[in-house]
Amino acid sequence: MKTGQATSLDRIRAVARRDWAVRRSYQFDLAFRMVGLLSSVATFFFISKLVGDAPALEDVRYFEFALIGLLVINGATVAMHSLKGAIAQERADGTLEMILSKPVPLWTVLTGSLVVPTLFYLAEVVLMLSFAVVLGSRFPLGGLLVAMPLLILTLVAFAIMGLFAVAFIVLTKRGEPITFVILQGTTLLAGAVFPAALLPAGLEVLARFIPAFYGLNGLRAAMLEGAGLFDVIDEIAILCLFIVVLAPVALWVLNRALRIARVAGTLGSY
Amino acid sequence: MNSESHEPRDLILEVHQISKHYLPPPPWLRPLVRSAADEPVTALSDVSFHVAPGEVVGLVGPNGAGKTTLIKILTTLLEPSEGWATIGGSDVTEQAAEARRHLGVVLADDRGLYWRLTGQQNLEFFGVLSGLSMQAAAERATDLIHKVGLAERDKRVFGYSTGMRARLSLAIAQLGEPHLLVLDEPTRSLDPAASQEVLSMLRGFADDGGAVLLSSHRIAELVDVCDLLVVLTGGTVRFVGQPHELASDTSQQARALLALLSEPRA
Repeated sequence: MKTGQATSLDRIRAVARRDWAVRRSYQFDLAFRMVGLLSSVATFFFISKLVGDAPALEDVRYFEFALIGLLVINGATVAMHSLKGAIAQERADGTLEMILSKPVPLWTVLTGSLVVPTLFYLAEVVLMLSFAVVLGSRFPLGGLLVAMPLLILTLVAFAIMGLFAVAFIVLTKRGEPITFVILQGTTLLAGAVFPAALLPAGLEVLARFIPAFYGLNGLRAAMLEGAGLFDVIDEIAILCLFIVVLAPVALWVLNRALRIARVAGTLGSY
Repeated sequence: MNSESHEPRDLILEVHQISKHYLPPPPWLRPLVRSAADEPVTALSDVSFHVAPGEVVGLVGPNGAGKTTLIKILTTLLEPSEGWATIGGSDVTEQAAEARRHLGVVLADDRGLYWRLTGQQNLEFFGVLSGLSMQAAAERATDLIHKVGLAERDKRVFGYSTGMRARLSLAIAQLGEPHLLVLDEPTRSLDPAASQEVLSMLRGFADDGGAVLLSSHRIAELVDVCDLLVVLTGGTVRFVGQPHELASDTSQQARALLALLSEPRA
């Protein structure tokens, strides 16, 4: 490679720097988001008082149970909306065609589009957990360390499902069912705010096809019960399997959607 | 395209019998894909011409002639139905990534800029996407800011005048040191003085060994700056030649070109 040539990392950094500069220019948005998060945590704190010691949760308080569900739902929202939102925004701004006319692999642009939202999300996780500690929650330090890879793998799985949403958006311009289905599935079936064991038997089986189910189980085991890395190895392996299987399919579907738009001449229309 | 079917020679751009038919999507895709056409529409038919280094080529035609369709094909954003085009010897469909390395683009309007970023930030971002490292992109951005005379590089683009945005778009197009600039109506919103400056820059780019394909409705400007004119009407090439082939002096050339565009097709 010649000196002065961009590496893939340069391209990812350039997209992240651009996003950071744009996001910094909307400071009120950031402040309101922080207030909204703390408000959500507080809401679950008071619901937890209402729920009390629910038998279905065994020895776990509902507040911490729901807090982890909230972290995963927020992560799913960030991962799925970041990619879809990036493509929709670029198209509305007219910059999508400019980017696609440059000699840059699309995956670097998409990966770059995840960097700033993911960093903000991780900062939000720290803020939410800190607020929970202020409200009386305690998390084992070792469990938090084990939670990190689980959280990252869960985010990656959601981001890959987000590629299917991007493919839809490339074709339909607005409105796609993937994000709705995944987020509703995570909330209702995967056990984000109540244990999946409460679901009827058929639905509980369906939950096992949602990566968030494994992410939530692993995160709760690590953060609430202090499980070690080997205790959650099954969850880690299944999340990796989801990623390895879904990633090539999602990329193929996205490339196919781009090809259809290139033939139809609808790449830049919105 | 069979790569052995033509020789790149010294040509920067070669367009060979390009046709584009917009077809309505197949029934199973219609709920998903929006299409402007319910019936098949032929936007381009059998378009051929070429551009050599040092040339400024004007693409002229009335609204709906197929100019933007052709520009989108050449900038790898749209696939032709038939025919092929190469930029620097690379096919725009089958070797799109390679073709893009030779290409600088200014799309219609100034929507291809990030309005919340400064001019410098826009240049650095697109510089990396054009293949430059972060440091090389920053250095190239500084050079180009001086070259196109872009004052207030640290001002956000939404505060720029139309002329400044045109200069910035032109600078972005040159970031990757392309061999060919393709511009879709770059002077459309500019006053005559700003327009003349942009055209002088394009002339300078060609004089330095690059090539320019320029779409415009401003006929007087085209006959003044272009070495070659490609006239499109109804998706077909009506005329390819030097302005002096139309008439001897520039005012008559403009009039002859206008007459050509107004004539009903036989």
